Amino acid sequence: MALLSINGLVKRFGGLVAVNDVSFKVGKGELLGLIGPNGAGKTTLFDLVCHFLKPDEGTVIFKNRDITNKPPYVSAVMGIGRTFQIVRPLLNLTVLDNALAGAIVKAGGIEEARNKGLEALKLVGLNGKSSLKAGSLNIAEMKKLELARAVASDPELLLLDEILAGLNASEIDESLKLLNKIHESDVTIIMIEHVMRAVMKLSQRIIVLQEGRVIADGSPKEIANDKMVIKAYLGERYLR
Amino acid sequence: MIETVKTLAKKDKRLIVVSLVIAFTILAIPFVGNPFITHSFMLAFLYASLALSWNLLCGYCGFFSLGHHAYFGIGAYVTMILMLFYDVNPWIGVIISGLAAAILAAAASLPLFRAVGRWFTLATLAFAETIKLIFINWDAVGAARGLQLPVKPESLYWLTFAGPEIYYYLILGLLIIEAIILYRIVRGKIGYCLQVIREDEFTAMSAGINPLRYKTIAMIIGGLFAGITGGFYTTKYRFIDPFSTMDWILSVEVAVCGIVGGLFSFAGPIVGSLIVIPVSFYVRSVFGGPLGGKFFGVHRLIYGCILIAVVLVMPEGVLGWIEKRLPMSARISGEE
Amino acid sequence: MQAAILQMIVTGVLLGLLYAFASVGLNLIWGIIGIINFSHAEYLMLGMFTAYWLYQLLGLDPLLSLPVAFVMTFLLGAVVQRFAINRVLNAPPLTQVAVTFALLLIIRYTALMLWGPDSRSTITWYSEKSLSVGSVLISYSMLISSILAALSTLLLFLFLTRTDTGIALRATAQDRVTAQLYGMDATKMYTLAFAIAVGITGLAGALFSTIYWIMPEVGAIFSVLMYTVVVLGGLRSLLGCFVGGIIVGVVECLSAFYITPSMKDVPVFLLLLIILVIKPSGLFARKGAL
Repeated sequence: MALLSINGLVKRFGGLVAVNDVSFKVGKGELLGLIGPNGAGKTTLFDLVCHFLKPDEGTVIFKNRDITNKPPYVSAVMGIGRTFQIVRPLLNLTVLDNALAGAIVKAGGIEEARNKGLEALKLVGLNGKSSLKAGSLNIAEMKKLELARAVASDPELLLLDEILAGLNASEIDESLKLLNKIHESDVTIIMIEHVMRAVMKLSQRIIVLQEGRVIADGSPKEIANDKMVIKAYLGERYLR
Repeated sequence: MIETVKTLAKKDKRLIVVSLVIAFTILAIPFVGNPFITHSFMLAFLYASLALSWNLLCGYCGFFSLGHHAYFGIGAYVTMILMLFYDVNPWIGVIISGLAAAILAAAASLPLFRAVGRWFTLATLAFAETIKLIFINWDAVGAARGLQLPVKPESLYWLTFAGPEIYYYLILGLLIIEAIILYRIVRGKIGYCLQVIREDEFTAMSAGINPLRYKTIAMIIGGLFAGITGGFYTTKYRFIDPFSTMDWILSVEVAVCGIVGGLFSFAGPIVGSLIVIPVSFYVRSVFGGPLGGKFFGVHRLIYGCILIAVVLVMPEGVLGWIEKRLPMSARISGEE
Repeated sequence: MQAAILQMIVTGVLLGLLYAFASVGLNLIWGIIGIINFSHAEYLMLGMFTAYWLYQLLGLDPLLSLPVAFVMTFLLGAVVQRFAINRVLNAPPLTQVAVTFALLLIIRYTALMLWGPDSRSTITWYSEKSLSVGSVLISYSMLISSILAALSTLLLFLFLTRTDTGIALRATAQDRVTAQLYGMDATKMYTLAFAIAVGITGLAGALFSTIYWIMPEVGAIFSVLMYTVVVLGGLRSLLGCFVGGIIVGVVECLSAFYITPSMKDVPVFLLLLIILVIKPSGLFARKGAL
């Protein structure tokens, strides 16, 4: 049984069709890379899954339940954790308070949430800074904090939106190790990424989006050789 | 602030002594001071309890309500009506007042929270004024004339006393109980969620927090305590009318107390009330009563001056200002 | 019965025009500077008193004091903006609300202290006279004031659309940063905008002085009316302001007639609440310029 099933999702913004009849299934334990040129509709797709946007057509089924039209705050409780392309830490609160936000709804009380938050911070390596204000972190740390918050909610499905953007090579390697670790603890991951080597290295399966449509879906090797993908990224000239 | 006090107390025994002295002074005022001082501090405690319940939505959640006094007014009226028309015991009356106010708060939340940002403040104002206007024109509950409790012999059962002394302890007791309950709420899950909503409602939602749910909870709890406070007001003053219990100036006064003391600390509203209200009480008595000549309203002018001064010069309030200057970082885990 | 309703509607429309004109300033401040000026109605009160004192001390017909009322409130507005409002432009909304509210208290209660709570009125040669159009009676005062209000609005509209300063003001409203890049001094613009906005309202106050009781606390009543007009009409829409004003005027008059005069503002309050909840952006809201 697929953990997440996306069926015929369509989202229009005025005349622009951002997501155009997208369907795919994600099984439990997969590590799926979602790639495509800018503006392909990847973030919009995430927004639809987490109900920050309502689809014009189509359904989203998670753990056998139709979650298409639920309010935005339901996804975290249902087991979907998400990071955002532009990080939004709560600057005036401490790092720990930021992390425990993910845990607060499921937790019995604030103490329990705090413990979960600390665990998540330990996982990403930020527990040394737990009582600092989030505003004092650098961008790489803020991304880790965002990840910690998502992880603190004990998600079954983790949606990562360009979590490696803006990081240097060593930071990327560190993050990849972290993501592997999270994946090994039985968390299904879908990651939107532009850092190709990371996606190729980490994912078992890649879906390519272009102009709101799925143009390819397969293993990294298959994708690398897919004509449509090459055309989408590099243009016709590169097609042999 | 409380954390600050605790941590500092561990380091500095002198602070414990100072706290005890303050506590002792507060308890001793009715015995030492004249009825005038007692009355003004009793009023300060009343406002403190209102300011505390108001700050749950304002300081902790970021929603500035100027309609909080409506719950106070309803509470005052409910207890008055129960005592006057149905001979209900005031101790029971104040509980029912609280519940009535809480129900009103629950009903009001639905429309009010649909107004966003600054419009919310305006909406709360309009809401409270509508209630006042309704009561002004409602003959069955006294309309503009108000309602008056008949004179009764002194008794604890009927909460009737001649001077302000017993009421002083009564309201102080209310304040302390309310503070304890609210403190636990604020340090717990509800308080945390409110603060996250205040910081960034969008992020709160993505973390799974339902903003409307928590805002409504804050509104209801705030309304509950304001209603109870209103009930006790009735027992002390024995006369109420829409102008003394439902006028918007009450919310302004409460807001001034909160802002002066510091919105973002728990004890801020209390400290603010203890400063602003006795001063205002004094000013009012010096410059003539409500019907006294040219200086009617001077205290409101002073509220305006204090408010603008504090906001421009000391926006974090008295308590925030003090905290900034404390030697030790008081911020343990973002909860202030 | 029908005659009475017609009477109410006509009165309501005329009154509404005046309300609209009084509220334009609030709309301008909201649109150009971006804050809700909670103290706005107090400038109306000041305009009323300016007209009153000129009438009382110099025997001047209130309508002749229009320029003075405008200038006095304009100057006050400039001072207030420069020293208070400007400092909280980038502060959280709570602070802005607090500052404008504090100003309300200061202005209203200084006036109360200086002039006492009694209500006064101005008596002119046309105070008691009315025009009859069919079965409807229109008081001269109201008619004259409304016409002057309409004229003033036209002038304002021309100023905002035809003069360089006016266009500059609207540009600052749309995009502060870009306007500054083009060399416009934002502070000066805001001060000008605020001063004009409250000046207009002061002028409106002078217009009201012939038809309304003049007292320091009159702001309490007018503020609700003005908020409703602005919220109804929507941000940055002059037309919206007028439609809003007329709606409020008519609702108020009909309420006075159908319910009781003392409750005439309750439906307006309710209207405000309803609009805030249903469509806070107003009936005519658009992102464009005035």
